[in-house]
Amino acid sequence: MTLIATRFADINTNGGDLSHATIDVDFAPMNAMVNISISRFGIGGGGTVEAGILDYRIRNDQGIDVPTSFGDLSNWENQTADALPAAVAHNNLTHITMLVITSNAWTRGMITVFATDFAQNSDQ
Amino acid sequence: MYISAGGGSQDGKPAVQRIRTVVVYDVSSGRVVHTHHAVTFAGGTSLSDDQLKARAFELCQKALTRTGRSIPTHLDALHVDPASIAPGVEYRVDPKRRALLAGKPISSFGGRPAGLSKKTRQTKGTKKRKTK
Repeated sequence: MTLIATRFADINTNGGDLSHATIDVDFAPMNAMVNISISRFGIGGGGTVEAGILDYRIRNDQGIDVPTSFGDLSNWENQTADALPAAVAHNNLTHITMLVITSNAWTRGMITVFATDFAQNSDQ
Repeated sequence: MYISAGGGSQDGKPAVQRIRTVVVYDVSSGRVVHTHHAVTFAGGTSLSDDQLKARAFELCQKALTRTGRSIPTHLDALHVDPASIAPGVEYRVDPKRRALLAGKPISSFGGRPAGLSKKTRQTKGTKKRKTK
């Protein structure tokens, strides 16, 4: 089984206001594990930094991509202490979105996708 | 906003097929409100340019909603070349020319970020070494 890995980084800053960036990653359906991390950050007075998974899509048996979103504030079941998830693993994953938000701060967020196309061996 | 992509392309596995970047900016000030990157691998869903702009607006709105803020009314979106964006630099948009402008470097500890030339690192009061 071959593992492929992808890596993306984004840097984000602002001058006392809010700043945010997103990365969409789209690929053919695969077993995939996604991790979000912040390698370094600096925070001013009252500043905050957040990075996480905003949404992802799974291709079902009918060939339809089914989305799961964590950014919808009305979807309280997906809200855990107001934090976006930092990792997800699923079979037939086709899409992932990372969100990085800073307020009076700067940071560098990284999304790492490990994937293999042996979808039948996946644990959900 | 800087993006780098690596990995893939092992044993014929998917490599990055396309990276595109859209900035959402305030047309009155040129301030970049949101930056969206789309990275597509072989076999992945790729949006049209107009769809990508709409996606950038959608994600901008989600981020603002998440932070309890309303989306500004005077926003526009601009496709930019991801390769033209350097790491560690703030950007804004010239609304008249609809062009991305490099601003001040982002400093981590109050100093200048690594990677700048010696000339740009030179501080006030330091003398240049004369060469024959």
